[in-house]
Amino acid sequence: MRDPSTGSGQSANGLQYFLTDHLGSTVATTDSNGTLTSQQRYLPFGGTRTNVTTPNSLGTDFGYTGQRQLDAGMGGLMDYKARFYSPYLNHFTQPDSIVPDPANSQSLNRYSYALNNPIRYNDPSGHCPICVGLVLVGAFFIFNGTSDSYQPNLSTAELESRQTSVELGVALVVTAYSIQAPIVEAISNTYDCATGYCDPSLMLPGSYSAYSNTASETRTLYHATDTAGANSILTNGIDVTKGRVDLDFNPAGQSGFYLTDDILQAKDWATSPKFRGNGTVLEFNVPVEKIKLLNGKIFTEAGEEWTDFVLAGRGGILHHEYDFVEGPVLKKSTGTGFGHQFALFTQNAANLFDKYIINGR
Amino acid sequence: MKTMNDILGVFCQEIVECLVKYGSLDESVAKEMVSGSKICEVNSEMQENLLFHETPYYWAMTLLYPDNPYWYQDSKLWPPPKEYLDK
Repeated sequence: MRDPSTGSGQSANGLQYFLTDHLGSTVATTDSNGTLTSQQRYLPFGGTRTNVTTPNSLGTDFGYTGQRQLDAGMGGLMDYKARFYSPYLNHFTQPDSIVPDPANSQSLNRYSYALNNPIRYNDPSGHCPICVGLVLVGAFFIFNGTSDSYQPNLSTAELESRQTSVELGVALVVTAYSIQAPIVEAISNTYDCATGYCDPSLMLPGSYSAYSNTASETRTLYHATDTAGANSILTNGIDVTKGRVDLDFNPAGQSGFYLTDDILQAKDWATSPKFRGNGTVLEFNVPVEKIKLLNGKIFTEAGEEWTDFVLAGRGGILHHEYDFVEGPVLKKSTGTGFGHQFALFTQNAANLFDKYIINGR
Repeated sequence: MKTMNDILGVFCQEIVECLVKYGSLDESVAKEMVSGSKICEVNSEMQENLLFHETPYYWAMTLLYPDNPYWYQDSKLWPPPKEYLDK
Protein backbone atom coordinates (compact mmCIF):
# COMPACT_ATOMS: atom_id res chain seq x y z
CA MET A 1 0.00 0.00 0.00
CA ARG A 2 1.31 3.40 -0.86
CA ASP A 3 1.59 6.38 1.42
CA PRO A 4 1.43 9.34 -0.95
CA SER A 5 2.83 11.69 1.67
CA THR A 6 6.09 9.80 1.85
CA GLY A 7 6.15 8.25 -1.57
CA SER A 8 6.67 4.83 -0.07
CA GLY A 9 4.74 1.64 0.48
CA GLN A 10 4.94 -1.69 2.23
CA SER A 11 5.22 -4.91 0.26
CA ALA A 12 6.06 -8.51 1.05
CA ASN A 13 9.68 -7.53 0.43
CA GLY A 14 9.65 -4.71 2.95
CA LEU A 15 9.30 -0.97 2.60
CA GLN A 16 9.38 0.19 -1.02
CA TYR A 17 10.14 3.74 -2.14
CA PHE A 18 8.40 5.21 -5.17
CA LEU A 19 10.24 7.36 -7.68
CA THR A 20 8.04 9.41 -9.96
CA ASP A 21 8.25 11.45 -13.13
CA HIS A 22 6.92 14.95 -13.72
CA LEU A 23 3.33 13.63 -13.87
CA GLY A 24 3.63 11.78 -10.59
CA SER A 25 3.71 8.42 -12.37
CA THR A 26 5.63 5.75 -10.52
CA VAL A 27 8.59 4.97 -12.78
CA ALA A 28 10.66 2.96 -10.34
CA THR A 29 10.68 1.48 -6.87
CA THR A 30 13.61 0.88 -4.58
CA ASP A 31 14.01 -0.96 -1.33
CA SER A 32 15.17 0.72 1.85
CA ASN A 33 18.78 0.29 0.75
CA GLY A 34 18.04 2.25 -2.38
CA THR A 35 18.40 -0.78 -4.63
CA LEU A 36 16.22 -0.66 -7.71
CA THR A 37 13.49 -3.26 -7.38
CA SER A 38 11.22 -2.47 -10.31
CA GLN A 39 10.61 0.09 -13.01
CA GLN A 40 8.03 1.04 -15.60
CA ARG A 41 7.47 3.70 -18.25
CA TYR A 42 4.21 4.91 -19.68
CA LEU A 43 2.71 5.96 -22.97
CA PRO A 44 1.20 9.47 -23.00
CA PHE A 45 -2.28 8.35 -21.98
CA GLY A 46 -1.11 5.82 -19.40
CA GLY A 47 -0.61 2.60 -21.31
CA THR A 48 2.52 0.78 -20.17
CA ARG A 49 5.56 0.73 -22.36
CA THR A 50 6.83 -2.76 -22.99
CA ASN A 51 10.40 -1.95 -23.89
CA VAL A 52 11.64 -1.25 -20.39
CA THR A 53 14.65 -3.24 -19.34
CA THR A 54 14.50 -5.42 -16.26
CA PRO A 55 13.52 -5.32 -13.52
CA ASN A 56 10.33 -4.18 -15.18
CA SER A 57 7.43 -5.54 -13.20
CA LEU A 58 6.26 -2.60 -11.16
CA GLY A 59 5.87 -3.74 -7.58
CA THR A 60 2.86 -1.54 -6.89
CA ASP A 61 -0.56 -0.89 -8.31
CA PHE A 62 0.01 2.89 -8.03
CA GLY A 63 1.37 3.55 -11.49
CA TYR A 64 0.41 6.16 -14.07
CA THR A 65 0.14 9.63 -12.45
CA GLY A 66 0.35 7.86 -9.10
CA GLN A 67 -3.22 6.60 -9.28
CA ARG A 68 -4.26 3.08 -8.34
CA GLN A 69 -4.86 0.53 -11.05
CA LEU A 70 -7.66 -1.91 -10.36
CA ASP A 71 -7.21 -5.66 -10.62
CA ALA A 72 -6.37 -7.07 -14.03
CA GLY A 73 -9.89 -8.40 -14.37
CA MET A 74 -11.18 -4.82 -14.42
CA GLY A 75 -9.73 -4.15 -17.88
CA GLY A 76 -6.94 -1.93 -16.69
CA LEU A 77 -9.28 0.67 -15.20
CA MET A 78 -7.68 3.18 -12.88
CA ASP A 79 -9.26 4.73 -9.82
CA TYR A 80 -9.11 8.51 -10.15
CA LYS A 81 -11.22 8.91 -7.00
CA ALA A 82 -14.27 10.68 -8.46
CA ARG A 83 -14.22 8.61 -11.63
CA PHE A 84 -12.56 5.64 -13.30
CA TYR A 85 -10.09 6.18 -16.13
CA SER A 86 -9.18 3.75 -18.88
CA PRO A 87 -5.63 4.16 -20.22
CA TYR A 88 -6.66 1.96 -23.13
CA LEU A 89 -9.63 4.08 -24.17
CA ASN A 90 -7.73 7.26 -23.20
CA HIS A 91 -10.96 8.49 -21.60
CA PHE A 92 -12.77 8.46 -18.30
CA THR A 93 -15.54 5.92 -18.16
CA GLN A 94 -17.93 8.42 -16.56
CA PRO A 95 -18.50 12.05 -17.53
CA ASP A 96 -17.24 14.92 -15.38
CA SER A 97 -20.02 16.36 -13.24
CA ILE A 98 -19.29 19.86 -14.52
CA VAL A 99 -17.75 21.40 -17.58
CA PRO A 100 -14.56 22.79 -16.03
CA ASP A 101 -13.99 25.61 -18.49
CA PRO A 102 -16.79 26.31 -20.95
CA ALA A 103 -14.49 28.63 -22.87
CA ASN A 104 -12.09 25.79 -23.59
CA SER A 105 -13.39 23.49 -26.30
CA GLN A 106 -11.18 20.68 -25.00
CA SER A 107 -13.23 20.55 -21.82
CA LEU A 108 -16.59 20.21 -23.55
CA ASN A 109 -16.13 16.47 -23.90
CA ARG A 110 -16.71 15.51 -20.29
CA TYR A 111 -15.17 12.05 -20.81
CA SER A 112 -11.85 13.36 -22.08
CA TYR A 113 -8.73 13.12 -19.95
CA ALA A 114 -6.60 16.12 -18.96
CA LEU A 115 -7.74 18.33 -21.84
CA ASN A 116 -6.33 15.65 -24.17
CA ASN A 117 -2.88 16.90 -23.23
CA PRO A 118 -1.65 14.19 -20.85
CA ILE A 119 2.02 15.05 -21.18
CA ARG A 120 1.50 18.50 -19.74
CA TYR A 121 -1.43 17.90 -17.39
CA ASN A 122 -2.77 15.28 -15.04
CA ASP A 123 -6.05 14.93 -13.21
CA PRO A 124 -5.48 13.90 -9.61
CA SER A 125 -9.08 14.04 -8.39
CA GLY A 126 -11.19 13.15 -11.39
CA HIS A 127 -12.93 16.46 -10.81
CA CYS A 128 -13.37 19.07 -8.10
CA PRO A 129 -16.02 17.90 -5.60
CA ILE A 130 -15.84 21.05 -3.47
CA CYS A 131 -16.77 23.09 -6.51
CA VAL A 132 -20.02 21.20 -6.89
CA GLY A 133 -20.84 22.08 -3.28
CA LEU A 134 -20.05 25.72 -3.86
CA VAL A 135 -22.29 25.81 -6.92
CA LEU A 136 -25.16 24.30 -4.93
CA VAL A 137 -24.78 26.74 -2.04
CA GLY A 138 -24.46 29.61 -4.48
CA ALA A 139 -27.63 28.52 -6.24
CA PHE A 140 -29.43 28.47 -2.89
CA PHE A 141 -28.43 32.08 -2.16
CA ILE A 142 -29.47 33.20 -5.62
CA PHE A 143 -32.82 31.45 -5.26
CA ASN A 144 -33.27 32.92 -1.79
CA GLY A 145 -32.59 36.40 -3.09
CA THR A 146 -34.89 36.21 -6.06
CA SER A 147 -37.85 34.19 -4.82
CA ASP A 148 -41.09 36.16 -4.32
CA SER A 149 -39.33 39.17 -5.75
CA TYR A 150 -42.60 40.29 -7.34
CA GLN A 151 -43.90 41.32 -3.91
CA PRO A 152 -44.49 45.06 -4.10
CA ASN A 153 -44.24 45.89 -0.41
CA LEU A 154 -40.75 44.79 0.45
CA SER A 155 -38.88 47.15 2.73
CA THR A 156 -35.61 48.75 1.70
CA ALA A 157 -33.77 46.60 4.22
CA GLU A 158 -35.41 43.47 2.80
CA LEU A 159 -34.49 44.46 -0.73
CA GLU A 160 -30.91 45.12 0.30
CA SER A 161 -30.78 41.78 2.09
CA ARG A 162 -32.03 39.97 -1.01
CA GLN A 163 -29.60 41.83 -3.22
CA THR A 164 -26.76 40.81 -0.92
CA SER A 165 -27.96 37.21 -1.07
CA VAL A 166 -27.98 37.23 -4.88
CA GLU A 167 -24.54 38.82 -5.00
CA LEU A 168 -23.19 36.25 -2.57
CA GLY A 169 -24.71 33.39 -4.57
CA VAL A 170 -23.25 34.68 -7.82
CA ALA A 171 -19.87 35.12 -6.15
CA LEU A 172 -19.92 31.52 -4.90
CA VAL A 173 -20.75 30.15 -8.33
CA VAL A 174 -18.07 32.26 -9.97
CA THR A 175 -15.59 31.21 -7.31
CA ALA A 176 -16.43 27.57 -7.86
CA TYR A 177 -15.58 27.88 -11.53
CA SER A 178 -12.48 29.89 -10.91
CA ILE A 179 -10.93 27.72 -8.22
CA GLN A 180 -11.99 24.35 -9.55
CA ALA A 181 -8.97 22.62 -10.96
CA PRO A 182 -9.83 19.19 -12.26
CA ILE A 183 -6.77 19.44 -14.46
CA VAL A 184 -3.48 20.39 -12.93
CA GLU A 185 -0.31 21.12 -14.72
CA ALA A 186 2.19 18.37 -14.15
CA ILE A 187 5.21 20.39 -13.30
CA SER A 188 6.60 19.05 -10.10
CA ASN A 189 8.64 15.95 -9.65
CA THR A 190 8.84 14.14 -6.41
CA TYR A 191 12.45 13.10 -6.34
CA ASP A 192 13.74 14.16 -3.01
CA CYS A 193 17.48 14.14 -2.87
CA ALA A 194 17.35 15.09 0.78
CA THR A 195 16.16 11.60 1.66
CA GLY A 196 18.87 9.97 -0.37
CA TYR A 197 16.66 7.96 -2.64
CA CYS A 198 17.26 10.12 -5.66
CA ASP A 199 20.83 8.89 -5.86
CA PRO A 200 21.09 8.35 -9.61
CA SER A 201 23.01 5.14 -9.28
CA LEU A 202 20.10 3.72 -7.31
CA MET A 203 17.33 4.70 -9.67
CA LEU A 204 17.98 3.02 -12.96
CA PRO A 205 20.68 0.87 -14.52
CA GLY A 206 23.67 2.87 -15.65
CA SER A 207 24.80 6.19 -14.36
CA TYR A 208 22.84 9.33 -14.81
CA SER A 209 21.94 12.06 -12.44
CA ALA A 210 18.36 12.77 -13.33
CA TYR A 211 16.34 15.34 -11.48
CA SER A 212 19.04 17.04 -9.53
CA ASN A 213 16.67 19.81 -8.60
CA THR A 214 13.93 18.46 -6.37
CA ALA A 215 11.19 21.05 -6.42
CA SER A 216 11.77 22.73 -9.75
CA GLU A 217 9.22 22.75 -12.51
CA THR A 218 11.40 21.13 -15.10
CA ARG A 219 11.43 18.59 -17.88
CA THR A 220 14.45 16.36 -18.20
CA LEU A 221 15.45 15.52 -21.75
CA TYR A 222 18.42 13.61 -23.12
CA HIS A 223 20.46 13.90 -26.28
CA ALA A 224 22.56 11.02 -27.55
CA THR A 225 25.68 11.94 -29.49
CA ASP A 226 29.36 11.06 -29.67
CA THR A 227 31.97 12.57 -27.40
CA ALA A 228 33.11 15.05 -30.03
CA GLY A 229 29.53 16.19 -30.56
CA ALA A 230 28.98 16.51 -26.82
CA ASN A 231 32.13 18.56 -26.39
CA SER A 232 31.07 20.83 -29.22
CA ILE A 233 27.66 21.37 -27.60
CA LEU A 234 29.16 21.99 -24.17
CA THR A 235 31.66 24.45 -25.64
CA ASN A 236 29.78 26.17 -28.43
CA GLY A 237 26.15 25.41 -27.70
CA ILE A 238 23.53 23.54 -29.70
CA ASP A 239 23.75 23.94 -33.46
CA VAL A 240 20.39 23.06 -34.98
CA THR A 241 21.89 23.08 -38.47
CA LYS A 242 24.32 20.28 -37.75
CA GLY A 243 21.88 17.40 -37.91
CA ARG A 244 20.52 15.48 -40.83
CA VAL A 245 17.79 16.73 -43.13
CA ASP A 246 14.72 14.66 -43.96
CA LEU A 247 14.14 13.38 -40.44
CA ASP A 248 10.79 12.80 -38.75
CA PHE A 249 9.90 16.33 -37.70
CA ASN A 250 12.25 18.34 -39.91
CA PRO A 251 10.96 21.16 -42.10
CA ALA A 252 12.07 20.73 -45.71
CA GLY A 253 15.79 21.34 -46.12
CA GLN A 254 16.34 21.90 -42.42
CA SER A 255 17.82 19.79 -39.70
CA GLY A 256 16.97 19.69 -36.03
CA PHE A 257 18.39 18.85 -32.64
CA TYR A 258 16.71 15.73 -31.27
CA LEU A 259 16.22 14.80 -27.63
CA THR A 260 14.13 12.29 -25.72
CA ASP A 261 12.65 12.07 -22.23
CA ASP A 262 13.45 8.35 -22.14
CA ILE A 263 16.89 7.78 -20.68
CA LEU A 264 16.89 4.16 -21.82
CA GLN A 265 16.16 5.16 -25.39
CA ALA A 266 18.95 7.74 -25.24
CA LYS A 267 21.39 5.22 -23.82
CA ASP A 268 20.51 2.59 -26.41
CA TRP A 269 20.98 5.19 -29.11
CA ALA A 270 24.33 6.28 -27.66
CA THR A 271 25.57 2.71 -27.56
CA SER A 272 24.40 1.87 -31.07
CA PRO A 273 27.03 1.27 -33.77
CA LYS A 274 26.17 4.73 -35.08
CA PHE A 275 28.58 6.23 -32.57
CA ARG A 276 31.24 3.51 -32.85
CA GLY A 277 31.74 3.13 -29.13
CA ASN A 278 32.06 6.87 -28.57
CA GLY A 279 28.44 7.50 -27.70
CA THR A 280 27.42 9.63 -24.78
CA VAL A 281 24.25 11.25 -23.44
CA LEU A 282 23.76 14.89 -22.59
CA GLU A 283 21.09 15.81 -20.06
CA PHE A 284 18.99 18.97 -20.10
CA ASN A 285 16.77 20.05 -17.24
CA VAL A 286 14.59 22.81 -18.65
CA PRO A 287 11.94 24.79 -16.76
CA VAL A 288 8.47 23.98 -18.03
CA GLU A 289 7.53 27.65 -17.93
CA LYS A 290 10.34 28.40 -20.38
CA ILE A 291 9.31 25.60 -22.73
CA LYS A 292 5.76 26.90 -22.70
CA LEU A 293 6.99 30.19 -24.11
CA LEU A 294 8.19 28.39 -27.22
CA ASN A 295 5.99 27.69 -30.20
CA GLY A 296 5.64 23.92 -30.04
CA LYS A 297 3.71 21.10 -31.62
CA ILE A 298 3.05 18.02 -29.50
CA PHE A 299 1.84 14.65 -30.78
CA THR A 300 0.59 12.58 -27.88
CA GLU A 301 0.21 9.45 -29.98
CA ALA A 302 1.28 7.97 -33.28
CA GLY A 303 -2.04 8.79 -34.93
CA GLU A 304 -2.98 9.78 -38.44
CA GLU A 305 -1.85 13.39 -38.06
CA TRP A 306 1.51 12.25 -36.70
CA THR A 307 1.91 9.77 -39.56
CA ASP A 308 1.27 12.42 -42.20
CA PHE A 309 3.60 14.85 -40.44
CA VAL A 310 6.45 12.36 -40.12
CA LEU A 311 6.17 11.01 -43.65
CA ALA A 312 6.28 14.57 -44.96
CA GLY A 313 9.31 15.24 -42.76
CA ARG A 314 11.05 12.13 -44.00
CA GLY A 315 10.13 13.00 -47.55
CA GLY A 316 11.60 16.48 -47.29
CA ILE A 317 8.30 18.20 -48.02
CA LEU A 318 7.24 19.26 -44.53
CA HIS A 319 6.72 22.93 -43.76
CA HIS A 320 6.32 24.39 -40.29
CA GLU A 321 7.73 27.16 -38.15
CA TYR A 322 7.61 25.48 -34.75
CA ASP A 323 10.40 26.03 -32.26
CA PHE A 324 10.01 22.40 -31.28
CA VAL A 325 8.00 19.32 -32.16
CA GLU A 326 7.44 16.44 -29.76
CA GLY A 327 6.01 12.95 -30.25
CA PRO A 328 6.77 9.32 -31.02
CA VAL A 329 9.66 8.15 -33.21
CA LEU A 330 9.04 6.49 -36.57
CA LYS A 331 9.96 2.84 -36.95
CA LYS A 332 10.51 3.10 -40.66
CA SER A 333 10.23 -0.59 -41.44
CA THR A 334 6.65 -0.72 -40.18
CA GLY A 335 5.52 2.89 -40.31
CA THR A 336 4.59 2.70 -36.63
CA GLY A 337 5.69 4.84 -33.73
CA PHE A 338 7.79 4.02 -30.71
CA GLY A 339 9.51 5.83 -27.88
CA HIS A 340 9.69 9.60 -27.64
CA GLN A 341 11.51 12.43 -29.36
CA PHE A 342 11.62 16.17 -28.82
CA ALA A 343 13.18 18.12 -31.68
CA LEU A 344 14.40 21.72 -31.64
CA PHE A 345 14.37 23.70 -34.87
CA THR A 346 15.10 27.33 -34.02
CA GLN A 347 18.04 29.11 -32.50
CA ASN A 348 15.63 30.56 -29.97
CA ALA A 349 14.86 27.06 -28.69
CA ALA A 350 18.52 26.00 -28.86
CA ASN A 351 19.58 29.03 -26.81
CA LEU A 352 17.06 28.10 -24.13
CA PHE A 353 18.26 24.51 -23.89
CA ASP A 354 21.90 25.64 -23.85
CA LYS A 355 21.21 27.31 -20.53
CA TYR A 356 20.01 24.09 -18.93
CA ILE A 357 22.59 21.47 -19.82
CA ILE A 358 23.23 19.50 -16.67
CA ASN A 359 26.14 17.36 -17.80
CA GLY A 360 27.36 14.78 -20.25
CA ARG A 361 27.91 11.18 -19.43
CA MET B 1 4.73 -15.34 -41.93
CA LYS B 2 8.06 -13.58 -41.63
CA THR B 3 9.80 -13.66 -38.29
CA MET B 4 11.80 -10.74 -36.92
CA ASN B 5 14.98 -12.64 -37.79
CA ASP B 6 13.81 -12.91 -41.40
CA ILE B 7 13.13 -9.17 -41.54
CA LEU B 8 16.45 -8.44 -39.86
CA GLY B 9 18.25 -10.67 -42.34
CA VAL B 10 16.71 -8.88 -45.32
CA PHE B 11 17.46 -5.48 -43.80
CA CYS B 12 21.10 -6.34 -43.17
CA GLN B 13 21.50 -7.82 -46.63
CA GLU B 14 20.29 -4.47 -47.97
CA ILE B 15 23.03 -2.74 -45.99
CA VAL B 16 25.53 -5.07 -47.67
CA GLU B 17 24.05 -4.28 -51.08
CA CYS B 18 24.33 -0.54 -50.41
CA LEU B 19 27.96 -0.96 -49.45
CA VAL B 20 28.58 -2.84 -52.67
CA LYS B 21 26.66 -0.45 -54.89
CA TYR B 22 27.49 2.92 -53.36
CA GLY B 23 30.78 2.06 -51.70
CA SER B 24 32.17 -0.10 -54.48
CA LEU B 25 33.11 -2.84 -52.05
CA ASP B 26 33.30 -6.55 -52.77
CA GLU B 27 30.35 -8.38 -51.27
CA SER B 28 32.57 -10.44 -48.99
CA VAL B 29 34.22 -7.29 -47.65
CA ALA B 30 30.84 -5.63 -47.20
CA LYS B 31 29.47 -8.62 -45.31
CA GLU B 32 32.49 -8.63 -43.06
CA MET B 33 32.09 -4.91 -42.42
CA VAL B 34 28.43 -5.34 -41.42
CA SER B 35 29.07 -8.30 -39.17
CA GLY B 36 32.07 -6.61 -37.57
CA SER B 37 30.03 -3.49 -36.85
CA LYS B 38 27.45 -5.38 -34.78
CA ILE B 39 24.77 -3.20 -36.40
CA CYS B 40 22.63 -6.26 -36.91
CA GLU B 41 23.10 -7.69 -33.44
CA VAL B 42 19.80 -6.72 -31.88
CA ASN B 43 19.27 -7.68 -28.25
CA SER B 44 16.27 -5.62 -27.26
CA GLU B 45 13.11 -4.18 -28.72
CA MET B 46 14.54 -0.69 -28.37
CA GLN B 47 17.67 -1.65 -30.31
CA GLU B 48 15.45 -3.15 -32.98
CA ASN B 49 13.37 0.04 -33.11
CA LEU B 50 16.44 2.23 -33.40
CA LEU B 51 17.91 0.04 -36.14
CA PHE B 52 14.72 0.21 -38.17
CA HIS B 53 14.37 3.94 -37.54
CA GLU B 54 17.05 4.34 -40.22
CA THR B 55 17.36 3.02 -43.75
CA PRO B 56 19.92 0.43 -44.88
CA TYR B 57 21.51 3.21 -46.95
CA TYR B 58 22.02 5.29 -43.80
CA TRP B 59 23.75 2.44 -42.00
CA ALA B 60 25.89 1.68 -45.04
CA MET B 61 27.12 5.27 -45.21
CA THR B 62 27.78 5.24 -41.46
CA LEU B 63 30.03 2.24 -42.00
CA LEU B 64 31.70 3.73 -45.06
CA TYR B 65 32.66 6.96 -43.32
CA PRO B 66 33.67 5.95 -39.80
CA ASP B 67 35.84 9.00 -39.31
CA ASN B 68 33.22 11.49 -40.37
CA PRO B 69 30.19 11.49 -38.07
CA TYR B 70 28.70 14.30 -40.11
CA TRP B 71 28.92 12.52 -43.47
CA TYR B 72 25.26 13.34 -44.04
CA GLN B 73 26.15 17.01 -44.45
CA ASP B 74 27.84 16.07 -47.73
CA SER B 75 25.21 16.72 -50.36
CA LYS B 76 26.70 13.95 -52.51
CA LEU B 77 25.87 11.42 -49.78
CA TRP B 78 22.56 12.67 -48.37
CA PRO B 79 19.73 12.55 -49.28
CA PRO B 80 20.17 9.08 -50.77
CA PRO B 81 20.31 8.74 -54.56
CA LYS B 82 16.94 9.00 -56.27
CA GLU B 83 17.22 5.46 -57.60
CA TYR B 84 17.51 4.25 -54.00
CA LEU B 85 14.55 6.29 -52.82
CA ASP B 86 12.46 5.13 -55.76
CA LYS B 87 13.21 1.49 -55.08
